[in-house]
Amino acid sequence: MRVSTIFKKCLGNRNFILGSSMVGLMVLLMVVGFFYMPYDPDAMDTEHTLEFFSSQHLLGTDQFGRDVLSRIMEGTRVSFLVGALTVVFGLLVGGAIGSLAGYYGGKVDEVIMKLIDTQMAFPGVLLALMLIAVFGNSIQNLILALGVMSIPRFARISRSGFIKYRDAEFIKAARSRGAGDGRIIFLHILPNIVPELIVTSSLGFAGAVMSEAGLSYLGLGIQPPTPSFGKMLSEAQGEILKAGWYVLVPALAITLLVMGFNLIGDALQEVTEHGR
Amino acid sequence: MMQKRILSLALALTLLVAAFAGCTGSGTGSQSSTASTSQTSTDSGKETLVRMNIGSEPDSLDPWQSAASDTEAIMHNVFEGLVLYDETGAIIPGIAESWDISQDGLTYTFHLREDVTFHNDQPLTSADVLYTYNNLAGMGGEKAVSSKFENVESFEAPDEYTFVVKLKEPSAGFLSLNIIAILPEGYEDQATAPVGTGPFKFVEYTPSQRVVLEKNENYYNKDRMAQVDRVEFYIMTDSAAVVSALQSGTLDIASIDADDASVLESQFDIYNSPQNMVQIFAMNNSVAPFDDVRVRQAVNYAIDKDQIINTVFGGYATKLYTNFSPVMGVYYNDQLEDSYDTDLEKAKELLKEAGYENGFEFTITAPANYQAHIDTAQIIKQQLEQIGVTATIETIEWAAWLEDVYSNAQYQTTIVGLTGKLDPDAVLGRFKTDYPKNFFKFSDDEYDQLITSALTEQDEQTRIDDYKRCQEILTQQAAAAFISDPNLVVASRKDLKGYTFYPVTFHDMTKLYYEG
Repeated sequence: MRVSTIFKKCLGNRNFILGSSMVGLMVLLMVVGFFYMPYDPDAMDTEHTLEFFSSQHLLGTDQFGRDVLSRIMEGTRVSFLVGALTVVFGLLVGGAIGSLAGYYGGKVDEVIMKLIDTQMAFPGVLLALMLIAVFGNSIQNLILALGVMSIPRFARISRSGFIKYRDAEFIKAARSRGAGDGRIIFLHILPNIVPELIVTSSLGFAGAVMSEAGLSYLGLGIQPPTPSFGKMLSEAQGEILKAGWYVLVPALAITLLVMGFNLIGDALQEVTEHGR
Repeated sequence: MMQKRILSLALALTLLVAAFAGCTGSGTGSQSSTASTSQTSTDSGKETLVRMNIGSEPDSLDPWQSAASDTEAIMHNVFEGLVLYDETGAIIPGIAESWDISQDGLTYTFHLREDVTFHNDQPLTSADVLYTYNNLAGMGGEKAVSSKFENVESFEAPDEYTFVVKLKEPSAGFLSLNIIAILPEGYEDQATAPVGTGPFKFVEYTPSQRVVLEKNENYYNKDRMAQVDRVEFYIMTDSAAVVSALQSGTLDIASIDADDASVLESQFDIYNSPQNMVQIFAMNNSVAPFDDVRVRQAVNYAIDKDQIINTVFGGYATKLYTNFSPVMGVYYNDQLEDSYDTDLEKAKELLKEAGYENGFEFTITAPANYQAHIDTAQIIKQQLEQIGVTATIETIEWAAWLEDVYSNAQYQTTIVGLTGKLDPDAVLGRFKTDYPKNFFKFSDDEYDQLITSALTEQDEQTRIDDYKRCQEILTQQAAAAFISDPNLVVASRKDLKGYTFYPVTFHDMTKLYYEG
């Protein structure tokens, strides 16, 4: 199916429209943040703490009197950075080992998949906690941990794609014309599983944003005062009796991002599967 | 995939809900069972009841197994030592009605009261005291329960109501060790059914729910007789749950977060007092640039403690000037107040003298599980920026903090709370050069001498002066930035009076009474 037809079908899909407007809103906040922010997101004003929405502070101020809107704008950068790098990491590493396992099969497949299964047996958050405990608390290690967590997802998808196509007629034809493994993997099979990988990426992105929020809620990964949605959520929880609205702001930001990417992933899946 | 979407959505919602979950957290299970008794507590003539919270599960009811201060805070109502302490931390008679100390400071003779009985109606004699102390110090083939009694030469019980301790070396801090619980000889079930001599008797403990105590009608000291009949401590780990329990009337009095005081102050009486803790911004005195006293002083001048107290502790904290809380009464050096009033110009000048005209960069290593310290770090970062110094905050796990910072002093700066002790030596001794956990890497000859001599000093006034001088040295040398003593905050029903604070964590239930 051609890309333009997929795109057209997407525009007709309600989930896609809804999802991309949610993500679009967050992207907009991030992009605007690069050029203009109402306040320095780390600037404290301890005279004006936990103020409700007003014309000076559109989304109010936090417990240090920092502007919540500016912090959300900066927080989107963290979320997108973590999400994107995690997906890239998972796609490259998971995709590569999944392809190898699927294409060559046999012993290679067995060994790789056993390792993947072993890794899946670890709860993701525990794995991340362990990595952070061993290598230190920083955004690099957080991304590494989330990237490692996302490997199985990509590995399994690409493996099943490769198994599906490796014995197909057109691959046999290519092989009989003398095409090497590399050529078959990259030029003949890979393009066919791109839709699945895109869907997985979209869902993986949502998962990464979610995990990052979860880990920084626990105080891991992003270091203060850099804002992150999870961190803001946990800070807001401490003030819930005094300023209940504050907790809603980061919660809404997380919900928009995670739901948005999930809806997009679903829509893409629907669209590409109907085509077959 | 559909399942996955639902799962993700559910997770997203869970995070949202998690923030509210505190309201319905632990403790709810037990609240329903007590709701019926809540009305009776005010009716005169009926049994009076006080319900309070504690922040963690008791580690053990057996005082020889327990180390947690939360457990001590409630079980000190059940157990008593030869001596007790009052609100100022001064030692007062307990099971021993008086004591004599020999001229050389080596022999302590305790005269026991003759009217003390354990909660199991067994009278207390010197045999019980001897049994307790032999176990504590590991005499007579027993394994030592406490490491604090290594200085003891021998224990004797010459008659039924006299107990004699001989020390190897004179120790001014020895008397305060005798607050430790006296247990009945041969009683084996302390861990399940504790028996002591205190004003309250143990009734029951339901794990993760509550500990119940009741009034000891046969208590020997009429002045410390309990004024309420029954006390229930509910184990609640979540601060929001405590607030809603107070508001719904399932707790009568509670320790709360300073942050929550403003929510409760209209309906409840709020009591607060310094808790004898030192929240400290520790600078590693052995690494550059903090090895220069001028840099440390500059940092002290740049930090605005009031801003920290108001923002992080909602105003419920006591400003400190040295490594000592004013709650420690006689030993506290009040001459140091107002040293290092915030003065940015002076701070910049000192930095310039030290050769850091253009500032420097450093890391604050904060323990990740203490939000108050992380918040303080964020404010300090902001404050130091004004003198051109750039801080990076790094949060680390508590276990890693204990290892890297506390044990090995591998850090530049950190923020932590040093828990207070009744003995000033335990508080100030942390800064002695050869103290194993001197993670400040502070070292001063005069200071070391004073700490050593004060320990064996027999004259109380000289000892007080020594400790005051020690505090002065810490301030002058800017061994660290001493920020505040976060106050303990207690919210109490308006008709429940008498809550009293002590320099160590102790919920003294004998002082509580209902008005009218």
